[in-house]
Amino acid sequence: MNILLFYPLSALIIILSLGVILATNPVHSALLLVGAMVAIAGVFLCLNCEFLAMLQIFIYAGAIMVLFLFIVTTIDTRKDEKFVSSAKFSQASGILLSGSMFFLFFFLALQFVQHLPDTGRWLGDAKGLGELFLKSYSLPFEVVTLVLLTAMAGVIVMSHDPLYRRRSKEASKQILSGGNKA
Amino acid sequence: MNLAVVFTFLLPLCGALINGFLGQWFRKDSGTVAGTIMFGSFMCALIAFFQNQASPIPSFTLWHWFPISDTYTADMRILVDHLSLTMAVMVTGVGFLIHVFAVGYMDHEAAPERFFCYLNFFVVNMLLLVFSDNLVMMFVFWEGVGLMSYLLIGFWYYKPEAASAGKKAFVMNRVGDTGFVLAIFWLFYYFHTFNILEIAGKVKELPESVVTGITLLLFLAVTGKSAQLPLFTWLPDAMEGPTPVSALIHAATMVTAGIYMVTRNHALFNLYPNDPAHMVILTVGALTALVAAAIALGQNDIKKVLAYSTVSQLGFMVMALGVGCYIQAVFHLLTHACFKALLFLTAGAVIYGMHHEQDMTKMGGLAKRMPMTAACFIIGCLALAGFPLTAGYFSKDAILSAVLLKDHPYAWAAGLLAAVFTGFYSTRAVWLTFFGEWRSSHAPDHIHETPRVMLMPLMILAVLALGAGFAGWPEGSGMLYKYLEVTVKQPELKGHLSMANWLATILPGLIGIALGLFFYARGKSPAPVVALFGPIGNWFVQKLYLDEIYEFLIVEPTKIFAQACYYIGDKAMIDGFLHSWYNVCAFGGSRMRRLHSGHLHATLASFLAGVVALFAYILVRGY
Amino acid sequence: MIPVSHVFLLAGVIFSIGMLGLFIRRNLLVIFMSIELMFNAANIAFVGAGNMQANLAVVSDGFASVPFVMAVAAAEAAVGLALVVAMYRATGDTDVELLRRMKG
Repeated sequence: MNILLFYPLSALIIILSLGVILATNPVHSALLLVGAMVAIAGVFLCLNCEFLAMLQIFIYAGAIMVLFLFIVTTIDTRKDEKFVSSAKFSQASGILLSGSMFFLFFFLALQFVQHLPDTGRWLGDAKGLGELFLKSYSLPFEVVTLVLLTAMAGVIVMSHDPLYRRRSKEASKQILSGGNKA
Repeated sequence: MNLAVVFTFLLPLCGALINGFLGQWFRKDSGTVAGTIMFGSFMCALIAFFQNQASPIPSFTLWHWFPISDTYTADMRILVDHLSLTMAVMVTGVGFLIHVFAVGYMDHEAAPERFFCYLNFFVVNMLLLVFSDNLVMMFVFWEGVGLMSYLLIGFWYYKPEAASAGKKAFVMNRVGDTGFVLAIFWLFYYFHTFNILEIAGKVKELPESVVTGITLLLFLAVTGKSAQLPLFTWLPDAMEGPTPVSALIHAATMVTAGIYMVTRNHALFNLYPNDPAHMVILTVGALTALVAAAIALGQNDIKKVLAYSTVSQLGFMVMALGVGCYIQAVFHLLTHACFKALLFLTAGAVIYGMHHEQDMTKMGGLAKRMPMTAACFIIGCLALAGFPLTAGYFSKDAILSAVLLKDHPYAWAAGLLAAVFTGFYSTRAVWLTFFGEWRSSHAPDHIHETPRVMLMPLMILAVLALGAGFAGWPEGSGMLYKYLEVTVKQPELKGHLSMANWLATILPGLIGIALGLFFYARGKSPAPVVALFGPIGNWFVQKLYLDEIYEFLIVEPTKIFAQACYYIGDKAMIDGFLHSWYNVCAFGGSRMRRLHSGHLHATLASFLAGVVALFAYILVRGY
Repeated sequence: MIPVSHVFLLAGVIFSIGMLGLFIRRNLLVIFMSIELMFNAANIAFVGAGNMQANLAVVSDGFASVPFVMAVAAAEAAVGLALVVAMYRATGDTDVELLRRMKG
């Protein structure tokens, strides 16, 4: 069962990922990425991890990608994008590098010869992971909360627009006065 | 821990802190605060002195400072004995009087609290130097008094002469202090202790050559601090400081620290009384006494005369040390503290009255306008010249007889000649300042008698300058000898002076005074020294060209060496090396900056190239 | 009975695709999406390794790492998107070719 689903899902993920990086419209990229996320959740299911699959859908497909779509729709990105950088040498070497990265992964993967057993039960359930976080991983867990807090503070500082409040006030004034007149 | 002793130096410390940190809020009264505190300190010293008479005060440790070896810790330890108490009473007593004088003298000063803070802190350092139980502590406060001397000479730091005089004093003292440090290390090498009394107990184990070396190094420190040949030129320059400073530091107390230090370590010096070191000490002392007295003949600045006279008197004390007569040296130290403080303070009063005019050739006839001050100055000069029955007579006579009894006729003769000079320049100073015609271009109408707050200390000191000599009379068995003999063990003088020799010891001072009167009291306008002595007089006026000789022999070669170091070491080697590296870096940077094109893709490529390389390395190496 | 090597291979492929995306795209948004792909590749590898490890036990370190990666990815996405917005405000565009102030 697992093995039957795994290979089609893998193929789907690869195709969707390629679509993400090749689509000219960022909206398409984002939507294809959502599909890839969902497919990856399917791979997790094949690997007996229902809880992580659920997290994958909730956090990635649900939260992060929605964030992306918000931004994509907020800003106007519909313009012709050239895929060629002006740093051509760097771009070429980067493409070569990602190719060599693939080969390195290939050789790494070849070194593992085991097959994953079909345990017939779900692995990595919420109870077990929770215990793990509160016992052996308690310090990294706290650190991650701090990372999130810092990121939040940073985002607030960066996206703070001092003009925004005045603009919105003027806008609301206009609306209100217009409403009164009407 | 004896409270009287502790408060003797704790009170001035409090005074220094109060004036230093809070003084700016009671500027006008900072002198009163400092003087009152010095009075308390003087009272404590007297109490300690009499307590010690009743029952000896034991030495005590203030705190453990730092461990040096497994067996010895350098402590802040107070050594109380007859010698240190005598010195403490002198320092606080004279210090108190000079503080009182300074209240009047510094009353026009903008920031007197700084002055009184330094002055109080100097007294702390001096007292702790006197009370030091070990050589390290003594060295610390030896440097402490040097520092306060530097700060006080340069008190009027905006005057370039004052600033450079302070620097000169500091640097020349460093030369001597090198000797002190080396001597301390050398002693520690043999005894593994710094404690003066322990060293005194064990000192017989040392071979003669080592003792000679150590005593010579200690004497080098003395030549620095007590202004002996060849390091004395800083002391006349130090007269740039306020006059109370000259009186307290550069006449009465700090410059006598060298005499005190040798007396404190007398066990070391007593060991081989005929070794070369004693010859050196005696010769240096005699030469300094003579040379400084000769230079004093040619000076027109009233404070310079007194400064050279101080150097000369210190030479007398060092002569006494050279023949192993420490008590005589301390006796002269004490009487000298009284009459030289008196002279400096009177000179200060004159300078104050003359609105900071120090040139004696522009004074004259002041006796009519400030009679009390004139009387005090004359008393001081009589004591300095060794007029019979004044303080200076007894102590100088004691030293000269001791030198003769120890069979050093040449040093004795040099001392006699110096005494003649002393009488001469004292008379000259008195006459130029207080008698004859008024010679300044300004009208003398504004000159009045010294204010009372300054006059009281003068009168007390004048009484001391007249009477202090009786403490050491009769010679060899007087009160002071009996008192100090408990602490200072010195070989007894054998034999007696013949009447002729004794007369020869009194007469020089009188001859000098007579000569001075003969040359200066006759005419209305005083003859310049050059006219009296011919070309030699010019030498005296030019201070024997000592500053110029030092300039040529030491300062100029040092400057040339420094220039050479600058051009060869700094410019060529260090800068050359650094600049070549700079060129390498600049060249590399100009090439490397092309990598920073600012393209995101270029940055990413170089970053990920590193990642891939690392990954490849891990794969190849195995994990 | 999925071979572990295939799981890792899948992770490698997705990672390389993400990396390729970093280089061929000039739109900052899509570059961030590529980074998200690389995160996911790492997650797949973690899950595969966790499976390998969790033959007997139910949970393993490999599984525990996945939520951490997700948390960091969320933080990165938030900061990155704020940067995109800031850049858009400043330049009116999201082309990384415009960001050349770091030129040496």
